[in-house]
Amino acid sequence: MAPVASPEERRDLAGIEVVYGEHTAVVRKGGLPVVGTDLMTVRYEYRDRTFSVIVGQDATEAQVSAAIASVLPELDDAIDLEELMGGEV
Amino acid sequence: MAIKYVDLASGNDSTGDGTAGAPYKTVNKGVTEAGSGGEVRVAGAAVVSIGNAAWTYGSTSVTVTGSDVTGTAAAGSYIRPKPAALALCPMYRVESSSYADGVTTITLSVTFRGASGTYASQRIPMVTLTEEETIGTAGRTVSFGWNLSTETQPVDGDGDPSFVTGVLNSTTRAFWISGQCLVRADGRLFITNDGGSQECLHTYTFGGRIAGALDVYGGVVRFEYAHEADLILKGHSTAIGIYVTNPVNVRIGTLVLHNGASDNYQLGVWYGSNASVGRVVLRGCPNGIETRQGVLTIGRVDCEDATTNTALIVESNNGRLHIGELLTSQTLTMPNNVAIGAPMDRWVRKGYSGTVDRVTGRGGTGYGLRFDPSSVGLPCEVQVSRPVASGKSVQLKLFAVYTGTASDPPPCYVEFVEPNGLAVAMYDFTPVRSAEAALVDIWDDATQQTITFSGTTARDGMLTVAIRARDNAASDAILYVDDVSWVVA
Repeated sequence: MAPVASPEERRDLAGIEVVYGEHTAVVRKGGLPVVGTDLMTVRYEYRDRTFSVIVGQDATEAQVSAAIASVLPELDDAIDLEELMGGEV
Repeated sequence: MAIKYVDLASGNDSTGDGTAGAPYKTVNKGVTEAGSGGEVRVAGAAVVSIGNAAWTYGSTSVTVTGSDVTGTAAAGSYIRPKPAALALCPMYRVESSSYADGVTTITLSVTFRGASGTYASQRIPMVTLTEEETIGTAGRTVSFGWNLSTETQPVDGDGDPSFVTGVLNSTTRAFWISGQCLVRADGRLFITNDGGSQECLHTYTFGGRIAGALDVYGGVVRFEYAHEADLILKGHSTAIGIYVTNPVNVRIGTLVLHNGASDNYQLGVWYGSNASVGRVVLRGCPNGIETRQGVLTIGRVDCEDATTNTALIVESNNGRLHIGELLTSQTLTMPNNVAIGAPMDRWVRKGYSGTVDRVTGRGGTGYGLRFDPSSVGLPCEVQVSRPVASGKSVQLKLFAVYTGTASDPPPCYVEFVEPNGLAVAMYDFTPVRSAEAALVDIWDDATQQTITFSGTTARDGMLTVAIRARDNAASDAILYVDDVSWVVA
């Protein structure tokens, strides 16, 4: 994947919210470019934990929301299990 | 606190009483009688000058003009340039010597790997051991190179030890160093097994320390169980030179390794063990460093006079090797799990307090660090290391800039992981802010920070600091750091 010539912070993505059930995922600081690629990492908080998705550096708000929404169901189940059983050491 | 004297050559465990006038013969006896907290002083003998000798890099020939020193530098003896004349040079075994036409020609058993030059040189007096010696049990100090007549450890006009203890081992191992003992080598202890492949020195049980310089020729030095050493000079090995095993930290300040085997690594960290070495100097070691299911961190590696470039550094079976700075003129084939410098290839550090990863560096070249702290209370960090000599003042310089809310910089500071005598404190720095979005423009706004550490370094070894950043009050800070450098004076 060819890197973008001048990668940028995507602060415009900060604060995007994705609701799933009783919980909401919130994008923290926006999108941060991944070196040597045309991708960016978008870190979000969900249920007091920080996770990230990888999307294209030019991704729209809708695309970022969709990327996060696609992983929330499984993530939510994993957090439920962790809170029930305890974290893996 | 009891002091007991030992003379490996002429002491007597039965008739001796451990005084300088009637020393014991074995270190075993000495440590037993010294008791917990006691000190054992091992007799040395005077080094013997062979005058000014011409040593030639890459050659086995050493010459002394104008004197017949074949009686001093005889076959089977061990000679070296004085430390004041040539630092960090191990002793070398003499294969033969002859005198003709006013010149003594000494032939070494292995190639000289130091810098060519004419140096004041000396022979190390050797005592033949016939049984293993155990330096330990816990709580003893054992020191070497004592003149029993004067009960002192003499030095010459250059400050080099003039009394030393040389040990020629004729059994499997010369010394065991067991736990919580302090061995004061201090440039006065020389161990050899005449170039054989057995262990010369083996540390055992927890937490012993070898202080000062130790010189070993041939054989293997084997570290286990959280032992430390300051400086080891190793002139030759047909086996692994320094072998770290068993899964407990070993820390070594500096290793100087000459004439390594062509089929065995000179520094091996194996089987779940973990070692930190400040500096490794490899001279004539075609197989330098190997980690095999072990983790090895080295501040600096100097590949001087590597004779091949294909197996200089290897990791196998999921070993990990981190090198702060690698100096070599060789073209190396690097395996996947060797990381050099910081930031490292394919490297992300994600923790509960934030993520640190790499970005394209200042000026659009190389790599820089990007800190994304997730906590205003706990920092995320990167550790950087550098080998340093003792008595040095140290500064850390770096370029830093943050993006996020104006006038709300992330709290940033440098703290010691290994202070090596420097003052332990939180050394704060405040990055400037960039309002830009494009990385190249963000870097343009970065300014250089200078962090001056208080005090001076205590010993030759490794200095490790953590660059730490917490999130700002607005929880929107991203910190960029690049061009980390040290000023050591």
